[in-house]
Formats: sequence, structure tokens, C-alpha cells
Amino acid sequence: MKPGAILSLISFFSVLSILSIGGSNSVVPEMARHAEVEHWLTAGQFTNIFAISQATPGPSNLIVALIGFKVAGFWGALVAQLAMMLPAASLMLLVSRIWVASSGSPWHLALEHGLAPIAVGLIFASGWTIAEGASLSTISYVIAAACTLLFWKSHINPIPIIVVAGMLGWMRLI
Amino acid sequence: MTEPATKPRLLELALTFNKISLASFGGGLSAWARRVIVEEKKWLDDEEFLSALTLSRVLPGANQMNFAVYVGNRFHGFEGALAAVLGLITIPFLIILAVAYAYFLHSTTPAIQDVLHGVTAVAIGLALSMGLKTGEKFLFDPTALLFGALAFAASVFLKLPLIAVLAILGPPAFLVAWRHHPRKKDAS
Repeated sequence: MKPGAILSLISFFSVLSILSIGGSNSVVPEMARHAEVEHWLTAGQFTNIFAISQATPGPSNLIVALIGFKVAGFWGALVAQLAMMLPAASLMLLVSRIWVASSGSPWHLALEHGLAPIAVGLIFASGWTIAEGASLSTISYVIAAACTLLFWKSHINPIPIIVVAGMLGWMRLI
Repeated sequence: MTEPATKPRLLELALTFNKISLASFGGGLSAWARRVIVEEKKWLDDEEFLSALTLSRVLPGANQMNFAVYVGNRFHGFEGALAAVLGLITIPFLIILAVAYAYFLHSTTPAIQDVLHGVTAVAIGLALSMGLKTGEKFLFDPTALLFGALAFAASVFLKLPLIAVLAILGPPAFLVAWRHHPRKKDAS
């Protein structure tokens, strides 16, 4: 274990945790900048670990474990990941409690009613944004449209379809 | 909020969030979370799911992790939140360690970009189908359609960050809901 490196991981990621408003991807640029300044990773390595973290299962903030691993091995990965999780999770726990405790009150119901259509609009926006950034082929758009209809109108399990699509991508067929 | 028929146990919370996280490539596939939590387990209804999702997105932290904290706390307080988060993170953390080992110590990069490219089309389908499922009940509600369309446009065309969209559209949406349906939920 490297105590100095561990401490610098804790101090950086616990602050970043609270700054990651809108999800951990919003602080990826700051991670990239800091990792380069501290000589934790090269820019090329950072690009690769971002792709790895996007393509492996689990929450998006696991990129932090990869940085921690590079800096200080297993303990670096564990400590960096915990530092990234704990402050934000504590805040979420606090707000969840207030939200659940207020259920049934008029302001809670009005907020729930009022925000629901906005949340739906933002869900459509997230689908649109993924499509925009992915530079897909025509066949991929056809697959996306078919999947939309399929998942909307049926109860089919999406996991086998995700696995097949991943294999087709791996073989560079779509 | 309507109370679910059965209250999940801690182990069930952990296993369920493990299932959710293992199927969510590309980060934040909340459509899959909705499928499991709302449709299969019936732990939350659609409205509570949407409000929990909005809280999870607007507060700092990974959306999925915040959502796990919400659901866990909802049923078992701190212990529930801990069980849900551990269920969510443990196996993916071990997988990422294995990948880190392969990448940093053996310099092998798996063909991850290609796999991700294939999965993207399905991810788009999942997101849009969730929009349709949660949104179809607003089809004949002009106010809801207006706020949904404005939120979409603000995010996609104006590229406003989430927090700005909520700060601009949230207060009028709240006021309209407050005036028109203060206790509608009990009646529906």
C-alpha cells in the first residue's frame, strides 16, 4: 500500500462525489484533467478506461476504481471507489428520507404529479442523445426502432437481446 | 405512493439490484431498473418510480447508485440502502478489477468499443420504450404533453443541463399540479 497515494485518492474523489451533479459522467472531464496533472494516467489510457467503464456492467462511476487500481492496486481501487460513493450516497439517503416521510402531503403529490411528464420528456431525450452521439448505421437504427416497439408492447426479457447485439457488434456486423 | 403488497427482505433487495446492475451496460440503463422494480417486483408504482428517478438524477452521484439508495431506504432504512448498494456494486466491482488487471498489467484491450457499438441500438430501444410506457397515459393530457415536450426540447435542442431544465420547468409544473390535482392520486 502507498499511504500518500491513498490519501490523495480519498481527498480528490470524496470532493468529486459531491460535485457529480447529474451523474458521475458529468465529472469525467475533471477526472481526466486531474489524472493527467497528477500523472496517474496518460490521456490515451484515460480514453481506454472510459470505454471500459462504459462497456462493463454496473454503475458509471466504476471508472474511479480503474483509476484507483492504476494508482495503488487493489486497495487504491477499493478506497477510491468508496470515496466516490459515500458522500453522494449519504446525501441521497438524507433526501430520500425527507421525500418518503412527506409522502401523502399536498406538496409532495403536486411535485410528483408535476415532475412526472418532465421526467418522461427527459427519458425520451436520453434515448435521442445516445442515438445522436453514437454515429449509428442504418441497420442499427432499424434495430433501435424494432427494440423500441418490442420492449414497449411485450414483456420480453431484454438481456438475451443485449447479449446478441453485443456479439453482432463484436463481429462488426452492425 | 401506493404501498406494495409485499415488503422485500434485505437479501432480496441485494439480489435484485445485482440483477439490475449486471444487465446495465453503458451506465444508467434505468429502463431495465423500471422493468424489474415496477413491472416484475411491483415495489414502486410508475409515479413514485419517476420521482425517485428524478431525485437520483438531480442529486450528485451515479444515478443507479442513488436509485438503489432510494429503494433500499424506502423499505429498510439505512440497512436497506446498504444492502441495495452492495448488491449493485459488488460483482461489477470485481469484474472491473479483473479488467483493470488485464488492461494495466497485461496491456490487453478487449474489443470493447465494438461490443458497445452493437449494444447501443438496444440501449436506445430500451430508453425510448420506457418513455412510451411511462408516457402513454399522458397522451390525452395537454398540460402533461406540453411539459414533456418542453423538457425534451430543452434537453435535446437547447442542450440545457438537467438541473437547468428542472429549475425552469419544475416550478410552473408544480404550480399547475398544485392548483388542478392536489389530491388526485387517491382518486385515481
